[in-house]
Amino acid sequence: MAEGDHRFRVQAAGASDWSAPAQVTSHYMAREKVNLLLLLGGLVVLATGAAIVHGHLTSRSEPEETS
Amino acid sequence: MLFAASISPATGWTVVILLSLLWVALGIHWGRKAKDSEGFTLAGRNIGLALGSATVMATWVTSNTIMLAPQFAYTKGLWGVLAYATASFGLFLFAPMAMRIRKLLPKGTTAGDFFHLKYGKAGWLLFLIITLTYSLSWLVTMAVAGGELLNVLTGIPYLTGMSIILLVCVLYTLFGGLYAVVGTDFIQSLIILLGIVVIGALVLTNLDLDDTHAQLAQRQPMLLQTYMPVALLSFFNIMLFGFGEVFHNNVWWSRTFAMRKGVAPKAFILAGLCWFPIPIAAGFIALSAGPLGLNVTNTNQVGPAVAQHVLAEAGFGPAAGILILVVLFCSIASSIDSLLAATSDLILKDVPKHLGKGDLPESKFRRAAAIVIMGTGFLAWGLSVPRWPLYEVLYASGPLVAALIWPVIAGIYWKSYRRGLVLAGIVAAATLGLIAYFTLGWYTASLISAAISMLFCLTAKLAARGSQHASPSPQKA
Repeated sequence: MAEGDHRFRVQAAGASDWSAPAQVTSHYMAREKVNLLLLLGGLVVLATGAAIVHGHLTSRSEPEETS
Repeated sequence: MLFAASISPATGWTVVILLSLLWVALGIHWGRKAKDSEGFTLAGRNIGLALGSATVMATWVTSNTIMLAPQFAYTKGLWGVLAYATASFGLFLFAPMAMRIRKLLPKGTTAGDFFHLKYGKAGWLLFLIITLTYSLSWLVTMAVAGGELLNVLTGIPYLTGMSIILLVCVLYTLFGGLYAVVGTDFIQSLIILLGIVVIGALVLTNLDLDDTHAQLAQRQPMLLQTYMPVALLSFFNIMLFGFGEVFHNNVWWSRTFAMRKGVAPKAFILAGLCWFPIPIAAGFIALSAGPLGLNVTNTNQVGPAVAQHVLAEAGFGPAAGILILVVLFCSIASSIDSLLAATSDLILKDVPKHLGKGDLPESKFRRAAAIVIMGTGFLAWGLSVPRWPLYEVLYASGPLVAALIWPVIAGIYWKSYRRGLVLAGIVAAATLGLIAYFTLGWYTASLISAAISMLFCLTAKLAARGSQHASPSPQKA
């Protein structure tokens, strides 16, 4: 559906009258913004996974803390 | 309503009463094992792999998994299905972290112990505010969902149904502590898995997959699109929301401490593997609504509506509604009991300890536990009565918990970082994440919060490299 204001109405099968129109405004986030957020999301997820994997590999031979 | 009052009130009451008596009886039975505070809060630190993975899986299966995942599929298509399933990735990534947590805190009892150890009192207070906001809103949304589902399925009035579900969970948690919670979770997880498998299998046998795809392509083509921005954004947002929920919350940390040595990593991975297909199955069920000829007027109920339809077509009759009721009751109860136990543990163990009053003496522990569990249950009940849209609070807590992802990673794995910068990052991330929630949309909030927190934490690590005074001073947990 294109951006902007749209009006819809429905008609029961076999009837002649239409409903009162309902107005819908559609607005989309700019594609550049979406792509930027997707890129950011991918980077954060990858970095999070990498930090955990790296942390696990470097710390797994460390002994238990005494407390 | 699509599936209003599919069971008679008498049948509904019978099922609810029988389930309630079963859980409370099991709670009393298993509660006999809890001889001291450690037995009550951590089940003696002796949970094995079967119970461990079952309790993790059952706790993560909520009414949202069964109601919201289908809605996601129905409104956001294939990416919506996969987006919801990414909530399991938090369990996978927590597995190696659980190993490290046990080494850092061999005698730890709560997530608060970790935050106090690594970030001092200020960090612990910040964590407490975030986790109580998130936990309470999750608890209340489960109670509200329980009341609404009982009302729609059986005609039991909302207030009565909601009160029963909360009361049952409070009672068996009160009597049995974590022993009761884990034991009932095991049974509930089996029921949930069986229900999903039966319903999923019936949907598959009722559908021609090629025809289903053709109908979707013709009538709801957007659901099959690969580039649907809100669905793609929700993919990363839900994943990061899930990371934040699992990495910070005492529900998962208490299970880590409660499991036998070496069990926690395997349990979290196994639970994640068992949980992952559930929202996908639930989503698939919802996508079949159109091809099955169902007129969906309320997308919130598309999952149970399709389930009831296919069960009725298969000749289940009234048993269809009973099966759905039992599965939903189990999914809600398995989360409420875990939240009650974990939240009350935080209040019982953390608050006196970290505010300088020391541990509660053993002689006073069970009485104090009873007061806190009942108090938490009563507070949740009070907030559930007006049916405020607290699911909005739960969704808005996404940026709050996502702000804790990197501080947890830093505390667990890094040897040096500037603590003040990390704490500033939590505040900045949570604030900006909330702004994003209200201005850009819910599907960006956790993502932005996690990104900002990550930036602050990485800066904190770099800043510490050149400084000898930057290592956080470890404090007694």
